[in-house]
Amino acid sequence: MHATAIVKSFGTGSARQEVLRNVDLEVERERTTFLVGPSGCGKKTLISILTGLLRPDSGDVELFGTPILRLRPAQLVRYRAQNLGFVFQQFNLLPALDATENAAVPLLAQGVPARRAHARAAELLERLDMGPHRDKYPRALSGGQQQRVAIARALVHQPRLLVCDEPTASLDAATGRQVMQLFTDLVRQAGATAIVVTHDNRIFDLADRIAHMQDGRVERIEQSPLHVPSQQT
Amino acid sequence: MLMADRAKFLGLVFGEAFAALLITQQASIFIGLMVRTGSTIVDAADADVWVMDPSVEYLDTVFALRETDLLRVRGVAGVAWAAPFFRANAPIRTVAERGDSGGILQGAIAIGVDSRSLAGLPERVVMGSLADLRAPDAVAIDRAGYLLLWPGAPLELGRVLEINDRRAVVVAITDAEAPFTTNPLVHTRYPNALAYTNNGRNRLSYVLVKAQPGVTPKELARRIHARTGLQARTRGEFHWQTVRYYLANTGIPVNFGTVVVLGVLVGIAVVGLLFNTFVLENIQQFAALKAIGIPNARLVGMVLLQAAVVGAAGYAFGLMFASLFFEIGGSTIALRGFRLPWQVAVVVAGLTALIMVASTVLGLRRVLFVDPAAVFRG
Repeated sequence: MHATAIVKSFGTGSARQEVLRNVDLEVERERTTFLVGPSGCGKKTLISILTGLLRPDSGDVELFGTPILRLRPAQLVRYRAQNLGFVFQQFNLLPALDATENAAVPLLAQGVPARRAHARAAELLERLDMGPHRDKYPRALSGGQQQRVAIARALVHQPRLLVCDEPTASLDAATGRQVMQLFTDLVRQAGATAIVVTHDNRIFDLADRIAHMQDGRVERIEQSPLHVPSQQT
Repeated sequence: MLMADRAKFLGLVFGEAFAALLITQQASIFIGLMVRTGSTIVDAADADVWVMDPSVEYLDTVFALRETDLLRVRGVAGVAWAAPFFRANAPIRTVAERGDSGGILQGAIAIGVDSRSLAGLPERVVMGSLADLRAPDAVAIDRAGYLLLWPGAPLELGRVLEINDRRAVVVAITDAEAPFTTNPLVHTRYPNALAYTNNGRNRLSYVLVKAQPGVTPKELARRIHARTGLQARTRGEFHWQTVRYYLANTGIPVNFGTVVVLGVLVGIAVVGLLFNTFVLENIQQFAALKAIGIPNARLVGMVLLQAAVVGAAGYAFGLMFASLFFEIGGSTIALRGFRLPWQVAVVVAGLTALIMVASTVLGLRRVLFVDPAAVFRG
C-alpha cells in the first residue's frame, strides 16, 4: 500500500488546521504495521484516508494496485466491503445480533447465504476461543470477548487489509495483550496486511514495522526487532 | 438494533399505538355519530324512497305534508306501496306500577307508521311482536330507551307509560339503531303518534315508498318529484343528505377532525423524537457499518424495516385497544351502535405509515449523511 504526498486540513480561514502534512507511507504486504504517535498527531485522519473513508486535500492512495481515491463512491464502498476489515476502538457490535451474527455481517453484506456466513463466523469464533459464547449478545460479553467478536468480524470475509484502531484502549493490559497476540497470529496465518493504530507501547513488540507520527508527518519507520520482513511491496 | 434497546422500542410502539388508538377511536365515534343522525332512515329498511316537503334539509327538521300528498305519491307509476310516516318529539313519563314509583321523564322520539302495513318499523325485535302495535294505545320502545325509563329493571312487556299525558302500553321492545341523541324511540301506529304529539293541522312528516320490481329507487324518486313537486330521495341519498347537513352546520367534524390531526401530529412528534434519539445514539454503529462497506441503500432498508416493525406493532396495539373500547363500550347505552368500521382501520393504517415515514425522515437523513470516518473519531 502506498500513500503519497497526503495533505489534509480541517476548518476554514483562521481556524484552518493542517492535520496531515505531505505524508508518504508504504505498508508492506502481509506485514503488520503499527501507526503510533501522540494524540492529535494525525493517526486517525491518516487511517481514514488510507481506507477511503476520508478524501485528502491532495495526494494519492494505492491499495493492492488500485488507486482508491479515484474510485466512484459506490465502487469504493464495494472495494472496502471486499478488501478491508476493521476492528474499531469501541468494537461497534450491533446489540441486536448475537456474536455469530455480528461476526457474519460483512459476509451477509456481500450476499453470502446466511447459513454459510454463520458457519464461517462460528469457525472463526471457535479459533478465537469464543465457541461457548457465540450465541451471546454483546451486552452479555466482556470487553475482551467483544473485541474477539470484532476481530472475527474483521477477518470473516478474508480481507487483504485489516485496520485496527486502538485495539487495547478499552481492555485491561493482560486481556489487551492476549487479544492482540491472537489478532496478529490470525493476520499472519491469513497472509493479510494489517495497520494497527495504537498508543500502547506494551504491544509494540507484536508489530513487524512501526511508523512513528508527529505533528502530521510520519517521522520515522522502524522494523520491529522481533520480526524480519520476508517480502516487500 | 432498535429491538435491543427495549425502553426506546417500547416507547416508540407506545407512541405509535397511542396515536393509532386516538385516531381510530375518534374517527369511529365521529362516523358512528354521523350514522346516528340518520338512524330512523336505517331502521325503516323496507322503504326505498323517502318523500318530503321540498324545504326539508335533513331528517330531524320536518315541514309537514298534506294528507293528500300521500294519495298523489301512490298515483305515481312504479310505486308498489306508499305509507305515511310521522316523526316528532314528545315528553314521555313512567307511571307508578309493579312496585316502581314512576315519574321518570324523558324526551322521546315518537314515530308513527302506517296502521295497516306497519311499514317503517325497525327489523330487530328483542321482545314481543310488532304486530301487537295494532292494539289500542300500543307502543314499541327501543331497549336503550326502556333502560333509561326503568333503570335496572328486567325487560317486561305490558308496562304503562304516559306520552303527553296519554296512556301508552309497551307491547314490544326493539333493537332500533341508536339515534343521534340517546332519547327513547317509541314506535306506534300513525293515528296514535298524531294523538301523542298534537303537532298542528298538517302532520304527515314523510311518505315512505316501496318501488315495484324492475323500478330502481333512483328512477322512482325522479318520477315522484316530477309528478308531485315534492322532494323524493332514495334511502341512501336521504341518509347522506342528513349526514351532510350535520357536517356542514355543526362543529362536530371540526372538533373530531382537530383531535385526529392532533393525534397525527403528537404521534409524529413523540415517535419522531424517540426515533431520532435512537438513530443518534446508534450513529456510531451506522458509521461503522458504512465503514465496513454496507451501502446506503441497505442501511436505509435497515432503518425502514425497524420503522415498519414499530409502525406495525403500534398499529396492531392501537387497533386492539380501540376494538376493546368499542367491544366493551358498545354494551353501554351512550355508546351502543358505535363500532370500528374497517374503512377506519384501513385509513388509520395509512396514517400510521405516514407517522412512521415522517418520524424517520430526520433519522434517515442522519444515517445517509453520517461520515463513516466518524467511527475513528469516537
